[in-house]
Amino acid sequence: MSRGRMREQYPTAGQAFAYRVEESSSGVTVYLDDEAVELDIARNSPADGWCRWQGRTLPFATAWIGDELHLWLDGVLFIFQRLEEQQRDRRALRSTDGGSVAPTAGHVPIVEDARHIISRLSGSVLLVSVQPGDSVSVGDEICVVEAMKMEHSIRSSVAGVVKAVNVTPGQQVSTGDILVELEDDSAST
Amino acid sequence: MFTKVLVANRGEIAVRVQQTLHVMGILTVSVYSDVDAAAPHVAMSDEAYPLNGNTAEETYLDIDKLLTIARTNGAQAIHPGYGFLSENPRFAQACQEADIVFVGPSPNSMEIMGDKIRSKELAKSVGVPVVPSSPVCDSANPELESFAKDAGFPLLVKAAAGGGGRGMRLVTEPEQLSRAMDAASREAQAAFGDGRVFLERYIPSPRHIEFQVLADSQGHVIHMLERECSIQRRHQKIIEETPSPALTPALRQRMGEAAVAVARAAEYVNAGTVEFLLDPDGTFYFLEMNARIQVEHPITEAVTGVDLVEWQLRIAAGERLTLNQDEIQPNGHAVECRIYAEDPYNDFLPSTGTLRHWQPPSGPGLRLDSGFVVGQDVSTFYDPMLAKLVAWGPDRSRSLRRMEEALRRFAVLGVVTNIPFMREIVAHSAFRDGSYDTRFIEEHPELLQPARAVELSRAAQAIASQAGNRGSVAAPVQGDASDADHRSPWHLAGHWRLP
Repeated sequence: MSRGRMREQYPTAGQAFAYRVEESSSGVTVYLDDEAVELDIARNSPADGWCRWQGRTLPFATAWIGDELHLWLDGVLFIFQRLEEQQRDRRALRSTDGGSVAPTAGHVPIVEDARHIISRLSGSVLLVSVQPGDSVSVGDEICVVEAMKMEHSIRSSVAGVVKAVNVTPGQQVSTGDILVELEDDSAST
Repeated sequence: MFTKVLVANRGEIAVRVQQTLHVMGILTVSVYSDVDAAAPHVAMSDEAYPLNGNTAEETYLDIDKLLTIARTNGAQAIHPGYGFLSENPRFAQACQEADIVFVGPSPNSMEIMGDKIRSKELAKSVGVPVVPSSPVCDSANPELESFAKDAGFPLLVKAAAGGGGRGMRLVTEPEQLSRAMDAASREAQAAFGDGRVFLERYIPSPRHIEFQVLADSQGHVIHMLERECSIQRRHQKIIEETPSPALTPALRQRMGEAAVAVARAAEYVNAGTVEFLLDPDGTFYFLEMNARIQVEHPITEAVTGVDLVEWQLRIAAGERLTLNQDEIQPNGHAVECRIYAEDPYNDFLPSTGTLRHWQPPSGPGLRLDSGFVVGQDVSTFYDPMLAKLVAWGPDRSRSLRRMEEALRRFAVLGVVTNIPFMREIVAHSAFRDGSYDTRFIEEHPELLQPARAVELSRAAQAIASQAGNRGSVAAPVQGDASDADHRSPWHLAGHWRLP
């Protein structure tokens, strides 16, 4: 079984969707945003084949080009970005008190609590804008992450005082990683 | 007949010309720029010589390099293809002086036809109606104003040495005229090395109908019927068909006779195309003559059964044209789509990349002319045309249905193509009923919506999710770019499938 999130980029930039692919003795079932999809695939090779969709047989071919999945389906080109294969747990990269957040198995929703500012995307940290002792307000920039060839400013959705900064420039982060820890009396608005 | 011919071109036309040369038992010589070293037109040739460079000027436009290669290696003739030097009188002249046969018309007829004003004068002189136009002028010329007043607005500014829609501007208001002329002139200077422009009356919803002509050196001139090329985007043809749904037999005969008259008046020899604009009211006007083989020639070959390149070579070798006008009747219907590496959903921006998957369709009535194979890079050095797909059918309806299905099955990954856009056009009711003109694409903006992608979105997501599990593609298969040897005979067998 495997799961993750993808987003259609071409021809239409779409919403991200969560997928789950379950293989059993009777075949493969795909769930998109938890809804089962009726689709049978017959492969010619790992990269091409046919699918049965709504009573028709549609040819398809796929290729990974860089970190994009290119899909040709029934005469139409689609390009998808894989956002995250969420089999990993939410975790801290470094903690000042020697402890760490207890790992949780399985599907991990991104939940923010008032003491953690977490990353909503995967990429590499370009710069860090805060240090321990700084006061942050909602909307303040915490760091800048490069992902999908663009720079993304990660902003705080909580207010408080920085207790620990878990990232340094050049470091890779993943969705769900805790970037910054705030003092215990912090509060979200 | 020649025993060795140099093809002074690249890409699909160089492949296509060599296919006929090989059928005729003639040895082929190819030339290539640095980036084209591994291209199919090179790999298939009997002899290949580098041009050492990458810009067009350093390579396919370099007359001295081409003639040196031809002379040194014993090529008796040069086929210029289309574009590049195919309509360059200096090149044709230089070939003559070097005692090498140029497969095409004489330098003189090329010069006349290359000059949009002179060619119209010639047409008028044999009683063929022409689109009213001004003499060549610049924005300071006083004659300009009187022409503009007579012709009225909107009118077109066109390049005297031009083609393919470049150096062309539509002017709707008198105030815009001067600036439009300057802009057109700059564009023409950059594209053709000749910034001269002229004005032409604008015919609002014309159909573009052209006639293929063939003429031998003994004065025998015939036409090979028409091609309708009204599906254009920014004045570039993208879909062509024959016969034209707009022509009655009577109109076909009159226009055909006019085309032959123009070619004869220019003492034209070899293959050429006479272009007309057809007004909705049934009046036709001579526009220009193209003194070369054209991109869309395959549809004429499909309905007449004639190999035009073969006749070009035979005429160039001095043979008599043994086809008679009354033998030229269309058999069935053919349509061609030009497949480009362009993104129809992003203003047709060119797309570059490596062809990771390239699986053209096959089946009854299909022909593919292409200069690309799987694994090849599509770069910005040259025109982004990947291939020409032709579908012949016993009637128009079947040829269009075959084309639609062929477009559906044409799998390309690695670059974005205009294939889904072509399919929307071919399936469109206004195209299907034959009632379209050169404004078709403008008038149907719905063509630019990725409607099919929206319908298939869920299925696409479900398939993509499974590809997401597997990471990168493992085993190489034919038609897959991970096949290590791009030069293997499997990939170089040529892409011309006879109907």
